[in-house]
Amino acid sequence: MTITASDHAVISQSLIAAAREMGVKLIRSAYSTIVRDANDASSALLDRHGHVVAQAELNAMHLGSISTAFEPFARYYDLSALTEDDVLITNHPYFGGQHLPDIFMFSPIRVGGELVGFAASVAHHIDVGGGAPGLNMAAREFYQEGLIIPPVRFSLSRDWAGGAVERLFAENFRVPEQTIGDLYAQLAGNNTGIARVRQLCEKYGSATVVATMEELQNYAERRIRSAISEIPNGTFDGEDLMDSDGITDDPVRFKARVVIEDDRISVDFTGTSPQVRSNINAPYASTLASTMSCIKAALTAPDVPFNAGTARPIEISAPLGTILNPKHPAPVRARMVAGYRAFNAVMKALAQAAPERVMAAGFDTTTGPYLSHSGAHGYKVYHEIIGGGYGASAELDGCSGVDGPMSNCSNAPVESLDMDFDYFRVVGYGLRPDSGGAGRQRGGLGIVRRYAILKDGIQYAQYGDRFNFKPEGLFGAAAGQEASCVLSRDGEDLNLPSKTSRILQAGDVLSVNTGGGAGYGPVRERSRELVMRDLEDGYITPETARDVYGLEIGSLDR
Amino acid sequence: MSQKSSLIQFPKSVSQALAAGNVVRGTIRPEAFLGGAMTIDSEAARRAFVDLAKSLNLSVQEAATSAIELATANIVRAIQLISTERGRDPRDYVLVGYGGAGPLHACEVAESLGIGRVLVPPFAGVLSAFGLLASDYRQYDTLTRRFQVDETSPEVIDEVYRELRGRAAGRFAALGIDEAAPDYSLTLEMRHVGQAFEVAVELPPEGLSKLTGEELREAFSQVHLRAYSYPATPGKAVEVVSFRLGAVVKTDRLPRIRPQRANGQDPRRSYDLHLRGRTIACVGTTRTGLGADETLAGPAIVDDVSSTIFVPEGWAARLVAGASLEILREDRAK
Repeated sequence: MTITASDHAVISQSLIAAAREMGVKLIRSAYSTIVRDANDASSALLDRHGHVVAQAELNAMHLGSISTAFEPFARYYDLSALTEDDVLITNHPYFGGQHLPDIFMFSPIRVGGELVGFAASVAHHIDVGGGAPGLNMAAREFYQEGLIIPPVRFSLSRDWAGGAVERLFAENFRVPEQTIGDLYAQLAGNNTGIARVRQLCEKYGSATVVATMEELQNYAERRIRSAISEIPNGTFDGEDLMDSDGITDDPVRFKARVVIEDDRISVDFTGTSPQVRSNINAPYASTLASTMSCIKAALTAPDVPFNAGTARPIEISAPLGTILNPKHPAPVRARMVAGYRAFNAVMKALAQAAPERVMAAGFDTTTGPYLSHSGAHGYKVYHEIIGGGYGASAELDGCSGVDGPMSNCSNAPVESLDMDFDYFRVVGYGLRPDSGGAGRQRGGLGIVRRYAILKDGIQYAQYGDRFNFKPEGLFGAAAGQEASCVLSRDGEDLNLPSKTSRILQAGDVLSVNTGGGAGYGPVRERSRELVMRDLEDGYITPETARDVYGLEIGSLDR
Repeated sequence: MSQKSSLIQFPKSVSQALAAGNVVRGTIRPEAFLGGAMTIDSEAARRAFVDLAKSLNLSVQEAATSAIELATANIVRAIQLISTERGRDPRDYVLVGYGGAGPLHACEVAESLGIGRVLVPPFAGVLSAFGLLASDYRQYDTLTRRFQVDETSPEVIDEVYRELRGRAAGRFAALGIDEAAPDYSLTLEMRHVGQAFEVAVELPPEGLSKLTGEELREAFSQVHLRAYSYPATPGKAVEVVSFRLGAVVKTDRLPRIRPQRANGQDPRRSYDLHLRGRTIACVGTTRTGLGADETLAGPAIVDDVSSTIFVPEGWAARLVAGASLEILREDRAK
């Protein structure tokens, strides 16, 4: 059927606005700081086949993979028979999911007795059981990482609000007041999506809305094909490294071969290191999301919507048994780091094909400390993502002190942490001068965050990276500074590895120092004005201004 | 009083450029600007576009109409940001044109958005000032006091309400606003303990003394249900975070504006409109020159004291409620 251009514009924008509104609802009603403050969640609307039509721009790791998480349901269930009482739920990394904390919930949208689409949400749940609160660095199988939910359907009226599924979760999760509350928040988001789509169907008719959902995907496909066509054909290789798997000291290698042929692009990760025993493996859905996010970010304009249509001209392969496509039951809790290195490898390949479009490698690591306390009241679990510096690009310096592009989380405000947790206090927070890689465009700065521990017996766990291998600069620029983590106890400083867990005592001070992004373009081409401004802002020290950028000493006298 | 307004060779601002463009186009008539109280140097308006036209290889007329089209497109985009992109269909709305330039561009903007009805209120050019004078006296105050909801809560709420009310009453008195007793409204920002964002729970002030902790919790639950599609969770603690008081002294006084007096002559003339690529004839009149039951078909220009109203081809204007101008797209007219 033909839809008028005006109707298409209004309905498409309404669908995208609805997906954003779902995300807002989810975050506003959530309980754990990782969702309500850090925004580690996503929301989307799917068509009746389970393909993403519109998605809120929250967490890029969920971009392109919500459809993947839905796909098994289309195989197991007769979708057209689903009712408004059904909820589809999964967190299974080997059935299209991400890692166990990411619980996906899909709610069917029915209008006039007909299935029109699905409202979808996913949130990172702060603890889903398993061998340690929130993050079990000792896990060697994913069974040890928490409750595994295969793609199943449950009934809202029978199994929720006091029913069997809610009670099952509450008994398996350490902090159910937060986690169950966050699941309700996901449902609140889904219900918003259902209401908005229903409104659109009432106004324009279901047939028109369904047709627009399809056309929106076709539109995204046309736009990305057009963007790929502008890049020269060819084969381009990129590679990046992770420090180690946390068990041995061997670096982990990520190789991407990108082939551009007219309006199609394929990415092959053959040559990437085999899967590892620790939890840094990335399930295929994460590899998919990382690759597509890189391609979309580098090659397309910001107004190109991200939906299932965007994925059509992109072919991605990662051999089974590599770290980017591990075999069941490999642990995957800390998959974000591997995801980032896949992102970096693809970006480096694209840097040869379209140099003016790419970013230099950023810190691009989620440093995710967990501090947990088990007391008379039960468990209290703190977790947040600490970012670092973005890589610079052809025209811009890298952004300082933000989470990387794949996770896009906010920091948790110190005031919020002080109110909620009585066993630690944030005693330092700032940018690290000189951590941004020098270049014509400078890499963004990393962060220092310091915690004073106030009670004994605090369980600390963390995964991070780029303690050894810095992000490499592009086209004559310098690398970003590496990260580190220091535990100060009884007057002594202990350097911790990037993947670790231990028990902390009152009086300990933990310093998490994250890395900067790499620069872009020759260092000595950076304008004098920008070097002066960096110096005035404290982003670089006088020594760096003089020795690295070549600023004359005389001009330092103010 | 007559002033020569100088539109110099290079307009110093967007509004000057747009005014110049409208003069060149013919939709602002220099002798009728501001009811004749201010004359415009139309030669300077033309001159403003000469260099631009030369550099773009256009005629002065084309350059001027392009500037207006660009301005229209920007206005359309801004409206889309607050309507379409929030899932609201602009075609469901009436576009109100006010301010000096609003009625000049409203119909063209409406055309692009698919809106079929434009309304121009009387005194459109000074509507904001009129509104300011006509508004009720209104003040808002907030106070943070965080506590969990239990049976002692109504007492705390009553105490805070009295404090806020006293502050508001004091401020009205200090400003000499005493036309009527203030109407008060009270809103509590509430959430479940553990949430980071509150929802607004309005409580009628007169019922505060009889409020129970249970009723307060139920009021929160209703709001929570509307906001998040599920009610408050039984057994989960609820807290109040802050208070908001509204105090309004209503005023029935409307400012009286001396109306334009019709001078008995029929002001209707025919003018040239220099649009993109063509020049067409256009009717010009004043608002007071419009008949009570007359429908004026575009292209037409209606001069008002505080603004100029442009009725393009395909649109028609008529007075409604004696004073406002309603302009309908011809395919929308009854």
